[in-house]
Amino acid sequence: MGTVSRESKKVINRDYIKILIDIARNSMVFIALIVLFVVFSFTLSNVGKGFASPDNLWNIIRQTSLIAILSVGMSFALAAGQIDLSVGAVVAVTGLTSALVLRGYGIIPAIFAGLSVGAAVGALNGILVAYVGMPAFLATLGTMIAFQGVARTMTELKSIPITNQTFIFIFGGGDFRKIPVLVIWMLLFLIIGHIMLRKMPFGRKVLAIGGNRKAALYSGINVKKTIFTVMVFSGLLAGLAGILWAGWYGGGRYTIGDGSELSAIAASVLGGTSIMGGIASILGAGAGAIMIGMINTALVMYGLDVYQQMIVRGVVIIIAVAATQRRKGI
Amino acid sequence: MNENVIELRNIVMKFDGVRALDDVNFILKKGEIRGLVGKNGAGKSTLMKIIAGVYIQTSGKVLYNGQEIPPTLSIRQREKTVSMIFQEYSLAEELTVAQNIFLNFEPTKNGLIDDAKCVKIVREFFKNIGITIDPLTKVRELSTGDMQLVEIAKAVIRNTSVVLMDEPTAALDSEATQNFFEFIKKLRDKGYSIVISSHHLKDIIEVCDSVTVLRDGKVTLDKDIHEISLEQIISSMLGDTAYKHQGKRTAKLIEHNTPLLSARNISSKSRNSALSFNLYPGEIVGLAGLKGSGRTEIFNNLFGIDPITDGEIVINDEKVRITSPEKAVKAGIFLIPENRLTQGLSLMHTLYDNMTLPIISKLIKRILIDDRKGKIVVRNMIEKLSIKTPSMDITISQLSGGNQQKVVVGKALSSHSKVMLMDDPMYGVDILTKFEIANAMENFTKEGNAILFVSSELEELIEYCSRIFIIKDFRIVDEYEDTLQLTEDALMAAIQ
Repeated sequence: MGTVSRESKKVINRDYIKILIDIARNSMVFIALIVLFVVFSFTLSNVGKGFASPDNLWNIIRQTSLIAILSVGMSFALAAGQIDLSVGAVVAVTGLTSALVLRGYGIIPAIFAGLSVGAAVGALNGILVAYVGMPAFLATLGTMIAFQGVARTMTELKSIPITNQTFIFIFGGGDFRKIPVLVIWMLLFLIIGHIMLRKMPFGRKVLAIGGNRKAALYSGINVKKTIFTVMVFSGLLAGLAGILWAGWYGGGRYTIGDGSELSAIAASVLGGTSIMGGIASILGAGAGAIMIGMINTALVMYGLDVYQQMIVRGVVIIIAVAATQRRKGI
Repeated sequence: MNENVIELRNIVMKFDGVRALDDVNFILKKGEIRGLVGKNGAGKSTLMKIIAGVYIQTSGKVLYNGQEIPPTLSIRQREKTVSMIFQEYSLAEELTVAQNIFLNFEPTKNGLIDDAKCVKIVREFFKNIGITIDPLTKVRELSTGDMQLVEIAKAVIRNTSVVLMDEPTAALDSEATQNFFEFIKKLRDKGYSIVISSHHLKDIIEVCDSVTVLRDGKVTLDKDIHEISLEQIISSMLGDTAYKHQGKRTAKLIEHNTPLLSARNISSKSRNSALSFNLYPGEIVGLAGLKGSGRTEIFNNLFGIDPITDGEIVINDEKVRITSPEKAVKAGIFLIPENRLTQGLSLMHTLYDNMTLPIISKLIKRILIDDRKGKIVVRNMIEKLSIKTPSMDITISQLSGGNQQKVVVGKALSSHSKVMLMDDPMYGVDILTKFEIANAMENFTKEGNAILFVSSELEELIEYCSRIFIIKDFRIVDEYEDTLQLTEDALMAAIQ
């Protein structure tokens, strides 16, 4: 149909630049991750074996892998315009539950019990949020407090040690050809979550609900069922994280997972997920979790005490979120 | 009375190198109501936003009262002269009318807000201009029409002398529209200058003193209203664009053998009178009734938003249970909702994602979504409905209103619905888009499907429908089969 005019070529070039800017903005978390890595590697090269030593890096990823797994479920909840504050409490309860069941009945029942508890709390959240119609923030705040109580009373604050070496190896403690098992679990669920969100109808429905719930309803989507499923999924992942945490620490304890719901939210938002719903990135959440882990480790290596670390961590999260969140009107 | 309050000289506005306005001259006199018309995307909103200072022109001059306004002057400074009323109102629903009008402007006494004074000023102003709203009512209790009056009063009391309005009558019924016209005519007589952008050309002719027509960013007509005709305005708007509506098929031409959908004595919680009707393949049936007559409720019954508690719905001789929109869509019923922004589309997502949403579970290959197949479907729809978009990956909020509406219609078509429930589908779209939607409706029914059609414009009902039901008190009280003979006046009388 004739030749492309100079005018339209210019427009095409401008489009390229726009697309590049868009990609850069969408991958802000990955860029920030690289920048921080370089900065920490140089400034902390003389502390211990150095920040960039393989041991240290594996350690960071191992520590953050559980937050990353929680952030997969959290990203789905946020994408649907919901939130799940109960995941930290679920981690504690499932860690203790699987440790207890492991003692009496063995590995398979222990896994089953842990996942069931997670799914059950998720289902409870799902009923309250999707069918009773409570705001997710309040419903899961309620279940969070209640299950924090459960975690404390079920063993009267006692830890339940795990001695089963197979369990410890598979769930958290082991290395598979030098790669920590936890990292494999994390990658597995990041990939599954990513595919679910981007390439499966479930993910598109979740995003549509977060974007405009009414429009999703009018498009023939079962909104309540989808939100229910999201909450169960988040609970299930929290259950898995609880089992892994217990395996890694060599036992269940009520303090495990304390505050992890907030780290998971921070990781998701850093990764580009909107807390208003409709926009999410699972791989971004994984990167966000690793970034938080890197910062935590670096602060320790810089020699800051615990309270100073808290202050810096808070400030860094605020700056990072401000930089990674896409600009929106109002 | 001949001073120019606003004057635009040789205005050019470019967005990403595309000329949205091309050498536009525009004059607004003191005490004048000027109509601004054009197709969606012709540049009306851009022009108004330049006057209001929301956009800064690429080149050209803007003059207020003969003074050139430097482009650096902020919106806030300009607001003292010009107020723009958007389609979405900016009122705080929980505050009273008086509180809204004086929001952020409150007169004080001893450091506290002087509410009595606010109320007094508003009451006097309303009396003066013939508005009967109580300044102490909460805004959420007002009708849409009254909210609009308050919105304008808010601008005027704040001493602006120019009011720009984008589609001010779109959400109003005919009575509220008349009230509104009275109101702005009084404002004009008091020396205010008003610009109205509207797709309702008859309204423009009725209320405006002069009209500016834009086409593709250029002024194609600029005349006093008594010098021109409706036909001239339309041809200036559309230019040489060939448009024609194929013409509706009357009830006589459609065989009433086996109904596609029949509702048999249906009633529900919110609509407890039994209702029965048949919808035949190929039909467009209009539901005519006043707001609150039950049109929306009937749609809600059929679409499962307010599921029926009694009676039955039969599609193609098969009884269907519609307890949710999900079931309705599965049964082949699709609703084009009244408000595309809040009910029809997810604005932050792409055209592709919006269009494929109803069929997303059917686009599966093994367990994953086959986006290649989805793209074929969407490309077909873009062509079929002539949606103007640079790509299917564009964020929906960047499309014009008419194209957004076509995307909503596309959702219904792509999901292979048999019955479309259309709730005011031509609301706020230009003539050309209207024709395109009408043609899509025509093609849809030709394939043996049917449409139930609701419109705020009786004219549209008569033009497109082969049968019209008169709805009153949640019932069908009458039916017109020969819509060719029907006049707007007769229909208006019937629904009262």
